[in-house]
Amino acid sequence: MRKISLFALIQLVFVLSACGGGGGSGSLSSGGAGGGGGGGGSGNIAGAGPNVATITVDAGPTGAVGVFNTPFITVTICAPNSTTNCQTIDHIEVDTGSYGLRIISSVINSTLLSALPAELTPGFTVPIVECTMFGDGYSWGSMRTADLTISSEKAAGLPIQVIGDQPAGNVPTACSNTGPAENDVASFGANGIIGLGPFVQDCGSACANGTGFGFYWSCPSNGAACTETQVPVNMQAVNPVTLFAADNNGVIVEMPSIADAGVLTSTGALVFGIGTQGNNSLGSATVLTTDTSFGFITVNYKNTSYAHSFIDSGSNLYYFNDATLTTCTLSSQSFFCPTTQQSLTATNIGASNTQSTVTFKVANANSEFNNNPSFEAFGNVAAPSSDTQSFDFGMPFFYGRFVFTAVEGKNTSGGMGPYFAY
Amino acid sequence: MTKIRRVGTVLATALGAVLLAGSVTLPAFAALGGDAASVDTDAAKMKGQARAMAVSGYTVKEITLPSGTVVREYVSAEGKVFAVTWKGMSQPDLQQTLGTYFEQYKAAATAPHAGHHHLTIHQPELVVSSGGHMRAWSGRAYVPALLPPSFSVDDIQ
Repeated sequence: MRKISLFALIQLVFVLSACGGGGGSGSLSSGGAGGGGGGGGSGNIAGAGPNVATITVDAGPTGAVGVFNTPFITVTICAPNSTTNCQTIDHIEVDTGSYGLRIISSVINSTLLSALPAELTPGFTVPIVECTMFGDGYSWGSMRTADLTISSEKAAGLPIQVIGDQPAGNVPTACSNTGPAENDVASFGANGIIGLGPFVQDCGSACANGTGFGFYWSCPSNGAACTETQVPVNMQAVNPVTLFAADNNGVIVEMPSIADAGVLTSTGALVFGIGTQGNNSLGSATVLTTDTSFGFITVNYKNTSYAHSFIDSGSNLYYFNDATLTTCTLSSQSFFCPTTQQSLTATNIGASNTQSTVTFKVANANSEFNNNPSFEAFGNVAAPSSDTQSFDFGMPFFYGRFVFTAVEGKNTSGGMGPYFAY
Repeated sequence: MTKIRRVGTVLATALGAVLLAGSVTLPAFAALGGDAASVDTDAAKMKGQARAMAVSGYTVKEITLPSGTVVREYVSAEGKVFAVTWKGMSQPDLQQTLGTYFEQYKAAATAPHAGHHHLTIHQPELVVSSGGHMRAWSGRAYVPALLPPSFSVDDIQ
């Protein structure tokens, strides 16, 4: 299995001691057991291999607060073309609902940081800075290039965002007015994030051909105001998998089943490639193609059709709307809190009309959290959605399943991406 | 849950401070909680195209921003904006859209929570949910005290 950095070990010890242990599954080793409870994959969670990274769902890096149901991996970045100016960084969030590698600047050592070249606007040679808009805030930082290694997979010259490396005060209001800043580990809840969703870039042709979206800005190094700029697609934040020499058509997130009460931590695998190696075959998984703009599938739930639905490891709960489920408010945040755990059914429909019926559980979130305050993984917690047309199968859906995410324009043993499969 | 519970008092204190500051410094063209004229201000400020749909007891004004993001503002018969929604690849200018509630939103959004794709804030005076995935964000916000009589929040689409 992949090594866990000293930093992560210290963090784990801290968590265990701070929380007084508790029940739940073991911590670091999955022992290769667990097995996919869903239709996809073929039995056991992948063991160590050149295209495999260990996923850990835990409390996140030191300084992060409130983290749960968040899958993390460890990555190594190097200055371009260097094999010595490198750093291994743990607690990078695995997000199948975004695109590109983004790392908080404060976790990168100064020698490496200074050797990561800034991307410059074509012709104007002004540094490019990105405003990454999330659902809960924005992250502001420069676009640079780095060589990425995960397990034995390498992406050379990868455009990455270094979050929080810009002087305070130069954030355009079009960015800062989208919510709170998440530019450090405490506010970001991770040392970084790796976006492995079904598209290649975070913006794509829209930001290459026009402005008005607020993604990419040119920020003169003399401190003058930033102006929005077009950025060619190959310089945008890019799904790193697409730059791997092989195993570049998608990923599998493989997680074990977990108890209804949740578990302290959960360990699974991130496998690169779909149908490219002995350990990443699609097996009997149902392929649900998405639309080619937004990555949506359709979900039919209780006689209502939700056309803007998706499967997403970056969502820490199930998010959907159901007026029959009791809601509760915990520290000003909404959750579903039914009196007894509900067993629910939904039918997921791909753009090409393949269908898959799934069952899932929604328990009382308040009870789940209070019964085991130290637990970091829950397979049955949900909350109302911000979008009346959307059903979001977040991280709870991933436990006990192998979830495949295939990238647009990439051929796989299950056909062309973009698609989800499980 | 420990993750949220352990910061409750910190959040409450921070929120009080921010609200105090916000009430002094925020501009008057607020959308949510503002009057109907603020919708047109919003459209102009955000360089959007506006159109209106009259529904029984209230009006929905829709602004399509240059980014393609669509903002809808729900205006009561008394002319108050009591709810807003947004949907698109880019987040809209939420200071413009949420008006005087923006700082309250930001303070609540700063409270510890897991992940980056969703936020569900439920306070007595303000309800905001924001979420989605990259390339497709959405949000809805309303002020419970301003909802028209017999209006169902399920009608905020």
